[in-house]
Amino acid sequence: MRVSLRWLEEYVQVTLSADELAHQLTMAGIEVAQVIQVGDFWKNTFVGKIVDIKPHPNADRLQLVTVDYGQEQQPTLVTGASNIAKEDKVPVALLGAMLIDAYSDTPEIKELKPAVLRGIKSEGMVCSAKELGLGDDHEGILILDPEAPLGEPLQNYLGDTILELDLKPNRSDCLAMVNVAREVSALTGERLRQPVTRQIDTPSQPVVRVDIKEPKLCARYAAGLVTEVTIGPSPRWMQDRLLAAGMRPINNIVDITNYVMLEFGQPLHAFDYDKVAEGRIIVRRARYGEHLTTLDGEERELSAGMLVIADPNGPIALAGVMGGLETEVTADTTRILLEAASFNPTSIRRTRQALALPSEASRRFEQGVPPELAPIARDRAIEFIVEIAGGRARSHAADSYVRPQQRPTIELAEADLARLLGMEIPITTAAEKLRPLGFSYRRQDSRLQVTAPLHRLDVSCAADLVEEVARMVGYDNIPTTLPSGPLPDAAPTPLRTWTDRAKQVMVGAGFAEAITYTLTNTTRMERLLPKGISAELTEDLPREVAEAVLPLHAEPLHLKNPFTSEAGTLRTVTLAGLLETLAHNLRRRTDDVHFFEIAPVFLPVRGKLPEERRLLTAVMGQFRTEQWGARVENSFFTIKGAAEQVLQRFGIAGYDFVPVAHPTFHPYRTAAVTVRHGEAERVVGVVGEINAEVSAAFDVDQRALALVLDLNELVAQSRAIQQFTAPSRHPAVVQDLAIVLDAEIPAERVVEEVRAAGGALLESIDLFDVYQGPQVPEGKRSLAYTLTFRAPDRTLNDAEVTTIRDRIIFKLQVSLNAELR
Amino acid sequence: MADETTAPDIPTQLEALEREAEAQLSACAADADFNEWRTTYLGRSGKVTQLLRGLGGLPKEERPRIGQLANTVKQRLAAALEAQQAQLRRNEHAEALKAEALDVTLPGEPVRAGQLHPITQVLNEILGIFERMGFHVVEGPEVEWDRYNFALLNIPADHPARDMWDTFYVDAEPVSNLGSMLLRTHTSPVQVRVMEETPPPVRIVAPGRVYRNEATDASHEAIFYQIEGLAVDDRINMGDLKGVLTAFARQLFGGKTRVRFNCSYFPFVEPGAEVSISCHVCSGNGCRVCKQTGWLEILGCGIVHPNVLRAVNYDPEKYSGFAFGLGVERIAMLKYGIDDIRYFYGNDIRFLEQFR
Repeated sequence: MRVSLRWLEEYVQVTLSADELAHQLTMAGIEVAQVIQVGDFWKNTFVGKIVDIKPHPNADRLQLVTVDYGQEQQPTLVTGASNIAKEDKVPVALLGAMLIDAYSDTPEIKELKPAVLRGIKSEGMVCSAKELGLGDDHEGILILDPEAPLGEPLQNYLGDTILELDLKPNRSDCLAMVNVAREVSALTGERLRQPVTRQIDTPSQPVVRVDIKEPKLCARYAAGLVTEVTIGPSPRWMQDRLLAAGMRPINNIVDITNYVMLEFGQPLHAFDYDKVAEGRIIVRRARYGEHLTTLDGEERELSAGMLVIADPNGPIALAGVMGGLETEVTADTTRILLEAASFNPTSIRRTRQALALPSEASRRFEQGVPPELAPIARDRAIEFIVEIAGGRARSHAADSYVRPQQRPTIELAEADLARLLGMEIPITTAAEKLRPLGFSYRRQDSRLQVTAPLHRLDVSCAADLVEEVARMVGYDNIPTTLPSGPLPDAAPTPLRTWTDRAKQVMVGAGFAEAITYTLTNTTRMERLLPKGISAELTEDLPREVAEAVLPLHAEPLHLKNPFTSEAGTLRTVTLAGLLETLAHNLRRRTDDVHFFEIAPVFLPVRGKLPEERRLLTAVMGQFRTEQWGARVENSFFTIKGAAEQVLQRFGIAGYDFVPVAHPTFHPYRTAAVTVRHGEAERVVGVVGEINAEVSAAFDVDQRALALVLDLNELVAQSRAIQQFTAPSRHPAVVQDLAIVLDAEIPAERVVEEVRAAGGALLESIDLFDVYQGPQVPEGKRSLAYTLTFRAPDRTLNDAEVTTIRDRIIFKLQVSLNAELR
Repeated sequence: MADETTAPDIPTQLEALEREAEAQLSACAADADFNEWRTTYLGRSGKVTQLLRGLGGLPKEERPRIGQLANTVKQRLAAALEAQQAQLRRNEHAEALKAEALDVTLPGEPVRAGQLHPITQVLNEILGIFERMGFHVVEGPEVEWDRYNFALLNIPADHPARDMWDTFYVDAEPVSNLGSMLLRTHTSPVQVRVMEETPPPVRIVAPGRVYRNEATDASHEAIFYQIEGLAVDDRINMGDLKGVLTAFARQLFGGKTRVRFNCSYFPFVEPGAEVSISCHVCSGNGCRVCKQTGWLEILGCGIVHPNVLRAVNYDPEKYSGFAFGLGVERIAMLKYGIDDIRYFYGNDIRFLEQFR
């Protein structure tokens, strides 16, 4: 809503500066988004009158205009415009004036300099609306009202300040000038001057009958009638106000309906009475298959259920949304049927949405227009029509108000003010704050029985009144305290705590946290599978991996109304997004790209909200940079190290890395991460090298490594506080053990055998060498471990350690056919 | 007679011998030199011992004095030897250290460290402030039912306030009582979920991702983060809301920050307010960041609407509460002077690394 202060002054005197008024309105909940000064750059520009027009001697399309601007001297100006005549009042800009260059693409303000046009010196200009910054019109000269004061600086006559309101849906009443004026009056204490309307009643007029078939959708329909009108332009002052409000003048009748809508907030519609069959207005729902050509010339198919205004022959308007072309007021119209109605907001909203037809009228109806307003606005408009377009009127041609509504009273207790605001406000003070806003009330001790003014449909309970009082007292005057109530029992949720901890682990391991889009599309997710490979996996372990952290087989949830097809699906996998991120960054620099993300995937559950499974995902490229640019290769073991770090920090007792062949990954460089869950092993993730074909599909032109863990599962298995173990005071015996065995045997098997044979005195087993090559037979490899033995309660002797060691060697020989190296 | 002539001579000779020995010592440069010197002067048949052989000729009462004098000289020479040897070793060591010289201006070994996303950092900072004020962190689902995202928040179907949020709807069957499935447009549904399950008092903050179906530009993203706050008990009021948010703003933006509350509208609160802080860049004098207003709008808040309390079976006559919601990206942008929200989801390492 654009509020012209010149116009506003008709209803209330504005005593504050525009900026201060804007501030006070904003603080009180009527947000002023912008204060626009119209004509603030005008100078040396005056209201002038054309006293003579002569053709330019050297140019057919130019004219010489002599103007009177109240001074003795009457300058002669050259103009290309043809819409001017003697006696017209026009804006006259003399040398030194600042004008917008109408021929420049960007609105640029330039100083008017002396010019010679085809041999004639021009001492100034007559201006178009565009040159003055009053609109886009540069077709001709802006013709001023004949009453405009001659010689007055234009700034004083046409300069204005516009407050651009950014209204919240509850304060749509301020889509009306008089209601903005009421706010200003309440805030500044200046008296409100409401326009007073009266009904005009010329007898013996043709009949108007109104029949509301849908009283739930149309509470009231008031109609007025004016005959013998003359259609033409509306007066300049009205056009100026409409322009200031951002509306285009059309003709006197349409302009009057718009003007009264802007003034009171009641949308009006004017029909050509002679095109409404039998003078009958029927408010009903559209029937299946009905059509209507709306004012914009579009023929629209109406859905059954849309509210229409019809005559006995069919729909003539979309109620509250847009009028019909056939009954439109035209230059030939002589009889006007004026509609002022109150429609159901939901019905209007649905029709507007279905037809994508927002309008100033629908906007107001959607927010609610009180039925009491209809006859007031109608009478105001009829007065204007008679005054401006002439004719004979019957304001009250018809008024159907099926079920008049009673305004509810709302009780406001002094105690509520203190309870909700934390500030003692006497009920009498509250009453004084409410009165200038138009509320009426009866006081009973410390309570008020309040009735809201008709335009304040948003006020329906005591809390609403508390806000009214608070905003008038000023939020800034409410004391600033801290809650004094009891502290609730509550503990942070494990998922939240562990998410934070996991992020710290990953950051410590050198990964940058990424946040990728949770919306994607299936094509982007399916890049995780090599072409032609089905997402349905048959083997158990790969399938378990897929189900835990890569459910590409699950049908994802799609959006009904995506903004782009790139982001129309809720992702079921996180890895695709991080591989996109990896590719994106590798393109920008060669090395050292390590990312992780902890975020949900959305797994559909029939009839319920999807499961939001939180995954920890990490990716890295083939290389990392170490000291002075040394390029070090990342391997499976680099990312496995990160996985182990997470598992250890979660205090997870038993986990394993089991070789797995999943199509997204390298078949021999990938492990399923499993966690012991009672007796069973459960897959909680996967770690490995990305299949080269998959990397290529993501535009990653090097080996890439990835880790995906189901954080919810890890949290379920986590141990928050590790119990303390006293460090032993007895020395350890440390021995090395190197064995040679079949290269096929997983190292984990060796560790298991050594642990089993080593028993409680074997404190740790740490790998320090892996060798495969000429020093050992073909197909074999050597593994070397440091074994640490220690007893908690005594110093071990060599004989004890030798016994255990022999047992270990024996076990390795028997179980794994290993030989001591 | 010889005694009388030699007796005063021995100290003189000792003095001369000491000077000679010191001179010789300073010329020693290797272990062999030192050994030879020691034999020459301090050895069993060294020059000092030799000299003392003449002691026998001295009067008995003179002998202890001269003997003591000789021992002192011996000790001094031994100490000088040790000092000279130590000096030599130090010199050798210094040479060795010089060979180990480093260019200390070369860069240090990089410590591998990643970093949290700036949103996480700001989120954690904000949550920390509220946690210290007794709020605890709760999370809720990103995919929601209409019931929680709208209906229970006093935004019934077809309410014009629904236009405040451009909503993504999920292509799934609506469920009676719960309505359509959608992507939550704000973190406010978490309020309702918590109150449904917990009797008052309640003091929570709920961080999370929210979704808006709108075009992306420098200041709009379809996906962003919010933090919702809610406190309900039998005495919470607007003063408490002002206090908590003022304390929050000062911790986040500095102790001199001024905080302004203006009346505003959100359907789930009444009275409703918007909070602005004095611009931390220009201290409220007006600059590019605050568009010359001196103020930056940071969040929306208010007193929980009685309809919301009623919907979760809290008695609005007995209980009252406040709620607030803030955009994490907006705060991060203000804090770090980031001028385009799209940086946050671009995941460009050159952007992220700045927030180490």
